[in-house]
Order: sequence, then C-alpha cells, then structure tokens
Amino acid sequence: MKPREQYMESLRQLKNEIMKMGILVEEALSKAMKALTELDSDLAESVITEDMMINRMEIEIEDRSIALIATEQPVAGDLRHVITGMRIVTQLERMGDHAVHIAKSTLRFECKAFKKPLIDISKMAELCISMHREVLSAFMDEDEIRARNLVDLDDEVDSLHEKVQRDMFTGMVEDESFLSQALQLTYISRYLERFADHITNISEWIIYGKTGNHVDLNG
Amino acid sequence: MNKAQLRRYIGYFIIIAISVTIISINAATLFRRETYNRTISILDRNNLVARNLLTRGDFDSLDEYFNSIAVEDVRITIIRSDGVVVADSQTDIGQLDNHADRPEILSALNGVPGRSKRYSNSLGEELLYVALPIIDIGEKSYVIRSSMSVADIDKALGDVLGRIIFTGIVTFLALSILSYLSERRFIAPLADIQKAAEAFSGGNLDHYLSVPGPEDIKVVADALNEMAGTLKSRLADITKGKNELDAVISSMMEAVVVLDMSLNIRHLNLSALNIIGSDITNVLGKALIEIFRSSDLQILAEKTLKSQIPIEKIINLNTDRNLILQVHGTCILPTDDKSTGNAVVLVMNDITQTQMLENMRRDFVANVSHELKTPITNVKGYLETLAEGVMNDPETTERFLAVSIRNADRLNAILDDLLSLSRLEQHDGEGLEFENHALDGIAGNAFQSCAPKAAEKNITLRLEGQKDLTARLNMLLIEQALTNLIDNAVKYSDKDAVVTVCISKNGEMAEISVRDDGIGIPDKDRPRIFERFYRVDKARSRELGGTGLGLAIVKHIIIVHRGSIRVDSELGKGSTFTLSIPLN
Repeated sequence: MKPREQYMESLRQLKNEIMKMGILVEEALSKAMKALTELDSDLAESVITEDMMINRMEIEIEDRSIALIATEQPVAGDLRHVITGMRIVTQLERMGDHAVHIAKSTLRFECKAFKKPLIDISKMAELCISMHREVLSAFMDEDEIRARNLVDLDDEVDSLHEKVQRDMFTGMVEDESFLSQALQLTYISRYLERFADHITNISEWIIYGKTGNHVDLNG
Repeated sequence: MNKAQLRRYIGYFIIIAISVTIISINAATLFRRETYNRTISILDRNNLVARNLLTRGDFDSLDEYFNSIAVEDVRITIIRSDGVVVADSQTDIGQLDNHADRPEILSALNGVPGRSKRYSNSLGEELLYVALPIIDIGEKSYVIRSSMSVADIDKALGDVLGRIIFTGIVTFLALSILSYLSERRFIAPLADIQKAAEAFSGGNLDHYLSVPGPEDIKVVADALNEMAGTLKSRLADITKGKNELDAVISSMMEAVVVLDMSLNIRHLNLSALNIIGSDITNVLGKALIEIFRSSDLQILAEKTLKSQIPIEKIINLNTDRNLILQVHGTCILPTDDKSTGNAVVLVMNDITQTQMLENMRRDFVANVSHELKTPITNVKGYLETLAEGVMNDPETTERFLAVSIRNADRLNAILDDLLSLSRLEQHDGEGLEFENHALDGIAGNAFQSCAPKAAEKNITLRLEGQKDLTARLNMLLIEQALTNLIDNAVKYSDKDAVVTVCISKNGEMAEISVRDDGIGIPDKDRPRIFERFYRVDKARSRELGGTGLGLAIVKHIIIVHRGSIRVDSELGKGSTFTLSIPLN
C-alpha cells in the first residue's frame, strides 16, 4: 500500500471509530430516555455503567489521533481532519455524560409515577436524537451544509426547554408536592438542551474541518 | 514506426556498419601489404641482376640493363663502401652526395639487406629503397640499391581502396534493406497479436487472431486463440456459478451483509437493503457502523473478525421501525494467499414480528390474570373479614358489601366484554342482522349512554357532519363501538372539554370519527392499544375503571362490518379514532 493510501485508510478507520462512539452516545441517550419514561431503574443503571465504554473510547481515539499526527505528520486539510475528529470526540464524551445525568435523575424519582406525561421532554429527546443522527451523517459525509442546517433544530430544542422550565415553575407554585419531581425534570430538560448545544458544537467543527473557518452557531 | 522499432533498426545499422568497416579495413591493409611485398621482391630481383653483371665486370650489359629498367621506373644505384655513388641508372653521379648515412645503406654495410621508404632529394619524390648486403668485387666493396616511386603503388592502392569502400556501402545498404524487410515480416504479425491480446484482456474473447506470417509466429497465434477459447468456457462456468449464488443470496428472506477486514460493506442482498431502507449505491464500500448505526452490531462484527468463531446475537436496531434482528456472524478465512484477508458475513433474521407476538402473548396472560384476580381477591378479602365477625357492625357491613358488589360488577363487566369479544370472533359476522340505519340516531343513543359520565366532568358531547347518512350495519354493535370510543374520550379528557363525533362520507365508506382534546397516545403504544388488556398507563386507566377490553371490542365490531379503524393522536393534544364502514 502506498503511504498516502495507508494514511487515508488510517483516517477512515479513525472516522469509523468516532462514528461508533457517536452511536454509543445516541444509544445511551435513547436508553436514558426510555428508562426515564418507563421509570426503569435497571436500564438507568446500565446507562451509567455503559458510559465507561464511551469514556474509554474518547481516550483511545485521542491516542490514535496523536499517533497518526506523530507518524504521518499530516499538513493543511489532512491535519485539520484529525484535529476535528479529536474535538468532536471531546464533545461526544460530554454528551455521554449528559445521558448519564438523565439516568441518575431517573434513579432519584424512586419509581413514583409522573404527575403529567412527559410530552415536551420526550419531544426534546426525539429532536436531540434526530439531530445527533444527522450530525453523525454530516460528519461521515463531510457535509458542512447539513451540519449548518442543524441550527434550526437546536433553536426548537431551546424553545422547548424554555417552555418546560415555565411549566415546571407554574406547576411548583400550584402544587408543593410536585416540587422535587419538577426540579428533576427541569434538570433533565437542561441536560437535553446542553446535549443539543454539543451537537451544534460538533457542527461547528465539521464546518471547520471542511472549510478551515471557525463559525459560531450557538450565537 | 514506433520508438522501440527505431531503436532496433539503429542497432541493426550499427552492427552492419561495424562489420562492413572491419572487413573493408582488413581487406585494404592486406592488399597494401601484398603490394609492398611484391614491389620489394621486384626490386630485390633487379638488385640481383645488377650484382651478377657487376661481379662479372660486364659493364656494357649493366649499362644496357640500366637503360631497360628505367622504363619500369626502377632506379638502380651502386655505392662504394665509403658512401660515394659510383653508378646510377637515372641521375648523373656527379650531382649525388655521399650516401653512407642512408638507413638502407647503413644496414647493407653491416651485411643485412636494407629497406627504407623516404623522400628522395635527388628525385624530389617519395621512394621505396631496397639494398643488398655489401659484396666484395676485386679489392673494393660495393652496395647495390634499387628504388621505385611509391606514388604509383599508392595510386594503385587508392583505386582499390575506393572500390572496397564502394562495395562496403553497397553491402551496408543491401543488408539494411534486407533487415528492414525481414523485421517488418515479423513485426506486422506481432502487432496483430498485440491487438488480439488487448481484445482478450478487454473481455472480447470472440476475437479470432489470424496471422499469415512466419510459421513460428503462427504457432504463437494459434496458442493465443486456444487460450481465448479456454478462458471463455472457464469464464462462462464461473459466471454461471456466480449468478446462481447471487440468485440464491438475493432471494433469501434473511438479510446477508458481507464485510471486508475494515468492516466496510462489500456486498449485501435485497433483504439487507430493505432493513436499511437505502439504495445500494449509497451503501457499498461504506462502514458497517455508518450504515446500520448499531454499536451492538459493530461489536458483534468486531468480535467475529477477532475470534473467527461464529457468533449469534439478538440485536435491537434503533431505526425508524425498531427492528429486532437475530444476527449470525461468521468469519471467512482467505482462500489463498492473494486475497485481501478475512471477511465477515452477517446473516440477519428479522424476528420483530415473532418477538412482538411473543410479547403480546406474554402480556396477555399476565394482564388477564391480573385483571381477573384483583376483583376476586377484593371480594374474597371483604367477605372473609365479614365472616370473621365484623357482620355485627351494620355500618361496616354495608360498606364492605358495597365494595364487594362493586368488585363483582367489575368482574361481571370484564366477563361480559370477554364473552361479547368471543362471540364477535366466533361468528365473524355471520348470523348477525344487518339493516340500514341512520348514523346520527346511533350516535345519539351512544351519547345517551355516556351522558352521565360526561356530565360529571362537565364535558360537552357534540355531533357534526352529514347527519342524515345511513349505512348497512348492526345497530347494537355500532352503538356499542361508539359508546366505547366516546366513553374513552370522556375518560381521558380534562374537565370542561369537548368530545366531537363527526359523520362523513368517503367514497363507498361511511366515516364516524370521535375526537377528544385529551392526553393523547404515545407513538410506541399506538399499534398495541387494540390488544386485549393492553394499557398505555397501567395505573391510571385502571383507576378510571376500564376493563381493558373496550378498544379490542371496537376493533372486532369493525372487523365484522368489513370496515377499518384509524387512530390519529398527538401527545398532549388529543386523539381521533375514525371508524370506516361500507355504506352497503
């Protein structure tokens, strides 16, 4: 194999690893949300233990990226792709942590039924998951236009987060017994909003990897 | 003429030129030596004649001889041992200087025949000299020397050399033309062979190579033709085998995905494409993880590749359809050294349906026992307490009996529902009376049954649409279906809400929809709400007093009417159940 081909193959493998980590994060969020809606503490526990794997992958991918930079000494666009990958991995690790936070909140509910069905929070989670799938596709295809389009969905998540917060505060005022549940749900809404923010951060890195320009999509 | 040919020709020319030159030079040298040798021997003979005449003292004959040889351009000189010229056949001896320092004379004076070729001052031209060793005549010693002009010899040599060069050039040209012709005779068939080989490698094995040329090249052409024939039949065999295999794989119900060493998709069949829901061009060569997006599947493939042991696992694929797949991973080892390495074959069996039925069955058994057991346990518990002596307290007795009756009623309701369900299933519409009825009348009856419950929550029941529409139906069953739907709508609506029944006509079908603004039904539960005893929110619906069979009954009523039922729902916004039954 020619050196260039070998380098491209290494880069491809690196991308596949990042993709795998992304999928693990997506699955973590799906599981955390399922555990939340069904108040399934076993599933919530499994999300917390499986986060170890995501954390391990972050280190592995970073090590591989550094080894790639050291041995192949990529320049310009090639170097940018490796750096982009490392940045995205950091974001993914944080997103995995948010899934864990949601799972931990679920455990704090102690299997008490919800006062109201989780409509807006479920919607936020669905949005987050579809954004996440889209951003992973954009990453694999190096499609900066699709990455940029995710901003609209992020705005939707943000406005849902505001709505949930308002609803929870009014709920708390009306019914004091609802206080601790409402507080946890506010946190969860916050985690989901952060999750979506990390997705837009990934979008920014995808755009940087493709064009070399830094953009601020969260502004 | 291409570059290779040109180079070859230049090589030929150089070889021919070198050969011709070497032969010519050799011939010229040989000829020159022979000519000189002959001249020297002529001069030697002249010297001997002159010596004979001199020793005999026959000076008259010598003089005559001198005159005779002058015609032949030969000059004879007789030199005394001290170098003084005593006689010369051409020049007056008085003009000649001492010859003792001449190289040929010096050598003759030492008793050795002398030879020399040099410029003669006396004659003013280049001469060849030959001298006999010194001889004694009387008391004096003499050296006899003959000489001849080289110009004549050189002229003759020049003539011959010219002829040799001419012959060389002619030979060179002739050989060049011959080699060119013979080369062309070999090259032309080679070009044909090249074209044929190109055609073969391009896949055109029907190309026939015919070469008119030399016998040995014809043999090569025949071998090539034979090779093409063999290749063609072998290729046909392989193609046939491959087509069969492809047909088998693509007609398989199981999804088959072949991966290379880096777990990129190398091949997959139609069923696999159906699972992904994508086009083959978007999939080939891409990574497994990118296409299937399942970490479980990726890990299974990685394990299969590493351990080279077949692995089987049930995997939930989180696509839009939430498939459950039984995946079987096998590692193919390389068949020979040249192949690119191991590959993984994943065979996936879609067991979503089976798994769903299994879940339904399990849930049904669990639910039915729970539903039946709860009221009986209650009744039994209260009656036992009464039997143990609480009966003496009339107030408690009354309360306990009331609870027991309520539970018995509940049990009764469940059994009634189960019975009507089984009747509906058994008859499958046969033996039921179907008549034309106005739908608004039926809706009105249903409203009446639900009015008390609606009034409790101050819910308005509203009828809309084409009120005079009639359809052929069993009035009691449709009324029951509508009652169940409206009852549900009232149950899951907030206070002061509105439940709307709308009658409309859609082609050959009458449509009756029941719309509420209640809590709605989550997407994942929607396909299952018509199952017996299935409850979206278990605690809540039991609290609201359902039997868990209402929607199952509605579904079966619609089935016996050969109609269909549809649910549109959004969480928090409300649900709409639409019944469609044929007008006739």
